[in-house]
Amino acid sequence: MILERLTSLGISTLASAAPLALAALGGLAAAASGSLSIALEGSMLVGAFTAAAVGHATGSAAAGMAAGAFAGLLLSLLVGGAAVGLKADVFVAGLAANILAPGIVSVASQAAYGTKGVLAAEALRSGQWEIIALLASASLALALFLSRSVFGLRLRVAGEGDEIAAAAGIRSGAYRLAAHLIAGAASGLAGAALAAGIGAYVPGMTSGRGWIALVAVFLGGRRPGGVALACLLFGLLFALSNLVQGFGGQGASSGAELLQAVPYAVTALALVAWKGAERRRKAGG
Amino acid sequence: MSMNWERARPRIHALGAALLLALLYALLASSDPRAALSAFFLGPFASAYTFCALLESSAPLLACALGACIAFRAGAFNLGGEGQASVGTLAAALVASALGGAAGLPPALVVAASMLAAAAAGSCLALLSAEAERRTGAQVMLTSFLLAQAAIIAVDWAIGGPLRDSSSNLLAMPPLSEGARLSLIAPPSPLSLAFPASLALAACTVFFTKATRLGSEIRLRGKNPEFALTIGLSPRLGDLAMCLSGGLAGVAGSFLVLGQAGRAVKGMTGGVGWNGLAVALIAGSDGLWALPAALFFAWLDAGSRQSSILADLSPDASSVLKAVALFLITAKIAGSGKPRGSLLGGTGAAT
Repeated sequence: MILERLTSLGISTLASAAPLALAALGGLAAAASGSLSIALEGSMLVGAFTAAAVGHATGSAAAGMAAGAFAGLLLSLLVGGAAVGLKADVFVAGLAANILAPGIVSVASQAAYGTKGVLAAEALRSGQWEIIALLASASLALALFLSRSVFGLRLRVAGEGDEIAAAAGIRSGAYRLAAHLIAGAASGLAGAALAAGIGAYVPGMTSGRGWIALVAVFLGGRRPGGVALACLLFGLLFALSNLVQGFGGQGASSGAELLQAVPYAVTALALVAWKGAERRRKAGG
Repeated sequence: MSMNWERARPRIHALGAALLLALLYALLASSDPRAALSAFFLGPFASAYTFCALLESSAPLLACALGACIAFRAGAFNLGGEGQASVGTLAAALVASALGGAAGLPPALVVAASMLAAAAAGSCLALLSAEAERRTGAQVMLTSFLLAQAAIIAVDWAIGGPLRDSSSNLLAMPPLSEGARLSLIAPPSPLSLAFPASLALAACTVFFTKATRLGSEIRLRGKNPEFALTIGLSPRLGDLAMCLSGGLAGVAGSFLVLGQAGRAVKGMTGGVGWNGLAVALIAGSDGLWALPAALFFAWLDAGSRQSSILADLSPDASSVLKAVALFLITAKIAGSGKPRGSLLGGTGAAT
């Protein structure tokens, strides 16, 4: 009984952590290039919707997932293009993308399906293990790509500043744009996986996961391993809050709904504790 | 004047482009473009009622935007406006229903106390992030969002659960008594004292940031935090800015509860914090520009709503238009040769 519970908690942790990890590694690419990926949340949302829409239309889960990643990439093209090409403030452009995402999804949904509510896509629904395997391998590939490839190295040089990059013969703007596109595609795929998990798009279904992924980038010390570890921790939080909700029974008055707040509060606490420890370490040494 | 025009031009271009996009959208997406266009652009002005509704809906938006302006001026990236407004709705509703039942209290006192409670609730939430950053360096940008998200879930739970009016089908608290609400100015329209109150808040914000010593210290901190510390300005200036910012968002929540709705409804903030942020950014963190920008956003919202009722357009088209305006303005302003981050009235966020 206990063992069963633990196993299901472990699986649920992985299922929650995997999309976070992929989005966070995308965010890490942007961070390494010296930019900020505020729009992870928006990319996840358009990824989830597009995956459901394309999955519904084509009957193919694979097409849906690919389309989700592509939609996330398109949104990040707006952000990266504005920031790199037009020298826009990347923070403002990212916020604009996060405001754009739910709006454009709702408008598209209204135009295509006459509703801005839930969009069911049974064809997109995939098994839990399939999703975890897909996201984990994508995460691993991305982590290796960032830490081991020449591209990843150049990305980090670009992150050291325009002058250093120029001295090394690297066009930092192009790498920064590429990093935004990677972040967009990764979080688009992560969002698609959320929709695939329940076989539907639900408005607001990302509910801040893109932001938690961004926190994981900072908490993980900007290293792929650390980022993945932070995501596992956050995944455990989501899994625990789901588990306890299951015990508490349904109904708003039971307080079960309140538990959904826990991952966000604990994430904030973790960030504060980590930063505090970091500051003390620096002060001490 | 020419300086002002230089500042205004990119903003007017961006807003004009948003309107152009609205025009295109109505032409392309609607089966009856004429009806859609007239509903979108003229609908909000078609009657005194709809115009008053537009003004009323601008009040919470303006309050949130003013809060964002102050935070940005101080270089504090307060992304928790939505949650600060949300705790404001709960605090206002709790105090208004507690005091509204007490006999003998003048309505003005009940309303003022409710608004103060809302401001305090929003302030406290924002202050947590500011203090955390001051003590540990945990970014306000991240903690303010996360705490807000947790607070929204908690407030939604409270309003839809233990505090819910069980006699109603709505997920809402019981309606407030007449004396515990902001008075209506032009009944039957929803226009209440919230609108003039938001104008007063705008005047105070502009005065505070531009004409007081603390205001200029806050602006200095936003431009260069290290320099501000070096010349001996208080390290708590960031706390103060976040406190005011959260307080204004909290007041926005009280406008929602004490104005039109007259009760706290689950999820009633509906993006007012994020939209306020966008208004502040379009206004270049200047409280003076926040008023026309907030009215413009309220117009887009009202127009989208009207065209979704009277024609076959999406009520959420306004979010797309707002985002486009924001994209254009950040590109435009950077393009005009100003340093990056000037839009925020402070340092750039990307570090």
